[in-house]
Amino acid sequence: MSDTIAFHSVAAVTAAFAKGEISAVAIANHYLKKIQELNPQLNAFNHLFPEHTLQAAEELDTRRAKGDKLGSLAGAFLGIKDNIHVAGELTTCSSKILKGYRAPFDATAIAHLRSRDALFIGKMNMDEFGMGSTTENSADGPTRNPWNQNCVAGGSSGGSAAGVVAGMCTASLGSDTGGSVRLPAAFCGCVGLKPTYGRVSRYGLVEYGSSLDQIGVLANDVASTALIYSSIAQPCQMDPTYAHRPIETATADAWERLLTAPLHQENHNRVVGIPYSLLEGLSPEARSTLDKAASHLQQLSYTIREVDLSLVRYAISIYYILATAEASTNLSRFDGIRYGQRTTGKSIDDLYEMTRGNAFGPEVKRRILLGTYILSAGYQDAYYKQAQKARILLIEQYQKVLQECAFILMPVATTTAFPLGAMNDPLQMYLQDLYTVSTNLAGLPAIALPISWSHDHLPLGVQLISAPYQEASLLHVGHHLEQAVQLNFQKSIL
Amino acid sequence: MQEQELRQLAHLCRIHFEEEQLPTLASGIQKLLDYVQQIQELDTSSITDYTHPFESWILQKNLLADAPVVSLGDQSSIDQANAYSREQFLANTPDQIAGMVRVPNMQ
Repeated sequence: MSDTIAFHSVAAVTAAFAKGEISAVAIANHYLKKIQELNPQLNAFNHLFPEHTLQAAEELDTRRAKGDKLGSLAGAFLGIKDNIHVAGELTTCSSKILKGYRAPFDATAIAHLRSRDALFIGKMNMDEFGMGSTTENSADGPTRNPWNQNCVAGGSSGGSAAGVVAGMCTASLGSDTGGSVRLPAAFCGCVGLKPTYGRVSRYGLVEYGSSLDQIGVLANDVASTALIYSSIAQPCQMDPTYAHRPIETATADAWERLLTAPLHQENHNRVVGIPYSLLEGLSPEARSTLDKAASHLQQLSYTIREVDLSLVRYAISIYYILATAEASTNLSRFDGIRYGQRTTGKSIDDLYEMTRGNAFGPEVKRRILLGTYILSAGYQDAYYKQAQKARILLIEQYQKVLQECAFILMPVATTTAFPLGAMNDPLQMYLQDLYTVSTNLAGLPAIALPISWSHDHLPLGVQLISAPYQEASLLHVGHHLEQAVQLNFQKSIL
Repeated sequence: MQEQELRQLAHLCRIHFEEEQLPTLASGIQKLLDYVQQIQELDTSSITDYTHPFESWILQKNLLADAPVVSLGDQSSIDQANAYSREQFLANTPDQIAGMVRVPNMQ
């Protein structure tokens, strides 16, 4: 019976559960078996709690048997990036400094998922504190790409992407500070949605760059992404940057109607902008992937127009100034006193320095040093203030373009996933983020979608960017693009 | 970046580095600083006063909100569930004594 259920689709698995075709315990066992089989190779999950998952599944089955009204996500089992709090479970941000730390409360996003009866299957590997583009900067070892285990999964939400694609969970949450949902989605071949800054509460998300961070969704199709997204874009009183623009509760049926509705019913303009001058560095396959997406959009009766986003060339500089400045402040709380690991020292300063020296990985240390330098007396105006002003110029440029266009079409990365260990120069690594960081700087929503395969069978994706709070339009056009591309990603691959 | 400057910076960050790590680290940080210098090319004189980079667009949109006024009833139960105890807090600290966090002698 369970062979006929599409475990990779939120709508399919929750419908099968609601109809009584399968029990929650059976669904949980399906994923746990997949994890047992594949996780030793892929390292998508860094913390599992099978007893808790199975116990919660039994309780759900009991409630269903009693005829209780169940939430819209009953039957879905989600993987959660290891920087988002699930009460009682480990939150280590894949860092040694938080070894053994247990979340004392649910992140707001988790609480909303829980209130809809979604269950949680484990925490997912990431670059330490979100700092990286490959998930190689993890104290728990790298996550491997499900399509080629010699290649990286992308990062920093590499575990969230690899786990979803390998069928180890129904969908997952990641976080996106500079592309950390979209890049692994593109490298692994799933959908990745980064909502507008403030759309989803950040309460219970361990902070990296507070003006950039946003919780996002990774799933195997747009419809699943929409269901999880609309469940987490919900009220919060604990995050002062939450936008208080909750999504009206959308059921699977409502989303299906919304996503499958013809695009011409949308009351927006039909122009998609492409910043062609930024595409010079693309590999030929990444370029043809973008052209393929553009031609599908034309068939969906969009007009393609060249747009000027020349300031995106400065985005990496702006981003690495602001993100490291924010990180150096945010990570000062990890001092060996209040959380996680402590290395004792002769004095209090010695304790701080030894604890942080021993427990932070090299990339985190590099970013703290850079951020502290940028904020130090004498350099703050030249770096931090100039970068903030440049950020505003970039936002104004995006605003101008999005007055003319409904969407902007951009690559996610310049290439497909590359071999583990190939990117060992920090600057080269940072340059990977060219196409993703600018949307975080501007606070805009973006969706990454798989479009094609490379000659060596690795996925290639594109991203669509819209004006603030237009996630529903992104999901709508994303769904039509997904149907047009018909990539036929095998969902259960190994 | 000179090694002495890096040593001072590392102390500001409260991160211990071994002496032999410093030369590579200094040249790595210098390379990144050289790269991000490119923002100096930008003429930002048109941007004068601001309180938040999002104020002109995203935040203003929130203020103008066409979004419905939300009942927060649902949320308060979530906040309630999230209240946590001294024991839960202390469970995450590296060292405790008599229900408090133990810290080294400050002298």
